[in-house]
Amino acid sequence: MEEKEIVSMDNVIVTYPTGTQALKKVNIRIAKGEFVFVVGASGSGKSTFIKVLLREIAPNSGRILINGKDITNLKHKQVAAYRRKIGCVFQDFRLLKDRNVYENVAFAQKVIGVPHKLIGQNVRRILTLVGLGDKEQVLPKQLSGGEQQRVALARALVNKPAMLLADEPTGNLDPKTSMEIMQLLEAINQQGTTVIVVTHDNEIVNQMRKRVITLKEGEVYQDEEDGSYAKSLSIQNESLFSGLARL
Amino acid sequence: MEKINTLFYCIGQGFKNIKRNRMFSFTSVCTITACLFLFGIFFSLVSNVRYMVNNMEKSVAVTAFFEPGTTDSRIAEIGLELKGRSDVKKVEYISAEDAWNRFKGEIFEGQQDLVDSFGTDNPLADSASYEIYVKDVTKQKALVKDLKKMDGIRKVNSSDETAKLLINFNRLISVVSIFIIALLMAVSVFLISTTISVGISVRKEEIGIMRLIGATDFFVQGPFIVEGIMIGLIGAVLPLFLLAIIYHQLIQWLSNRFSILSDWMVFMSLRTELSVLVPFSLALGVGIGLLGSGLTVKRHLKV
Repeated sequence: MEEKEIVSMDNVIVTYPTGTQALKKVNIRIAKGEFVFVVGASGSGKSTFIKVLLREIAPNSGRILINGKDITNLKHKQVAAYRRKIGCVFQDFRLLKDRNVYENVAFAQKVIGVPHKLIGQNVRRILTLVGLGDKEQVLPKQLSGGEQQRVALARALVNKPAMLLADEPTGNLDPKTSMEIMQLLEAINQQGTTVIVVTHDNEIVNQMRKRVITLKEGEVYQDEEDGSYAKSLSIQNESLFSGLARL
Repeated sequence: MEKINTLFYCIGQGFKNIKRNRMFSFTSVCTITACLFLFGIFFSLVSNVRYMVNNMEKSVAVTAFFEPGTTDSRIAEIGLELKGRSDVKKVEYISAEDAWNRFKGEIFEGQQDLVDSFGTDNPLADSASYEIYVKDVTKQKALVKDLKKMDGIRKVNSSDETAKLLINFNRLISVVSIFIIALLMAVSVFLISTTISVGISVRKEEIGIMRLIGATDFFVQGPFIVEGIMIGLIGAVLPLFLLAIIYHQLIQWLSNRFSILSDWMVFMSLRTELSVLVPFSLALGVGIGLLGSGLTVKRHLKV
């Protein structure tokens, strides 16, 4: 029977060696093809949530199923195979600075051993999809922030992942470019890819009107369909920013 | 198919790593070249000394002189008994005339007047003997002991001291060579390890990205292993060329310069020397590269 849920977290606890409990008995279900925002203030557990899904860290207890497969206790050798099924983008783009746009995207295909002649057509297809078909030979430093994030997206998508994880994808972008990236993510989602966006950008979250999971102090504080950035978090962030401004 | 593509990728990236990290690669290649060059010199020295020692061992003989009046049949019996021993390689009968002729040739060479003064007398009339050559010089002592007990044997001259000296010299050279080779290998492994460490730290970001997009350990570590092997291989090939040229010239020079010692100073031919040194050096170069890079990637590239 085909799984309906792509992410299933049961009582997941993550405690760092310092003693900080980053996730406290988190229970989350995400269906295939969903678009979900995960929001929360600093220290709420957003980054840990992404790290657990990327299998950078393993939970201390609880169970995580991805597409019906238990990844809680994956062995070292199984991690690489698991990561091939998920795409990820980050705030700092993480592109290879000495390689051009084409090579950056092709790199993801080389990693999984795609034959050379197939790489060319796959990369060109995905670069056209993200609107960079004419910038194959350009180096990352010659691109704008928005374009660099598109390259990162192309790299994340070229291996056709079932799920795309985006960790603060608009963190380094201006509002207009941020919205363009979000529209691109929405288009990708409409083609069937599950998209999970971790962000603190309340404007984006409020405009998109998607499911919003709010984390607070390592727990699921709020989970609503067609949700918005929780008012309490906005106030919390605003007071943080004004505090920083006073400094 | 994935594995073959990955293998080609690793080889290609290994070469690119050497190019990107060219200063460190160059330093490593130079040091390994120097180390393996020294190793080659040492190896050639050891193998040639061993070769000469073996030649000398073959020429070391025990001489057994007969009691005056020992009959020819007894001499023949002794000869048969000696030839029947498993530790004896060759038994040669030296008559009193042969002994005198050899003596004249060796000691009175060019002094015909002195030789003529002896007339038909043979001062070595009672010096007929057997020259016995052993298969292994370490067995000489036992043979001497047995000879002394035999009827008809007056005196046994053995080159015990020479044998001991040769055996000790062989041992010394073996110990010193093992020590030096181990030291040179450790230095080379350390240098490759440093080069690979630098390469890994320069490409830390890239490695992180590889991990995130699902690269296997082989994909991440392979290029560094290839880099280490290539540095080791290049570092092994260069000194072989140098050694071949120097060895050839040196043997010619030594043979011409010290022709007086040509009886025992016999060198191994360049071909024989290289037939051992080439596979040994290449294996050592690859081994050093593999060990240096293997240890480093295991230490630095754990997830």
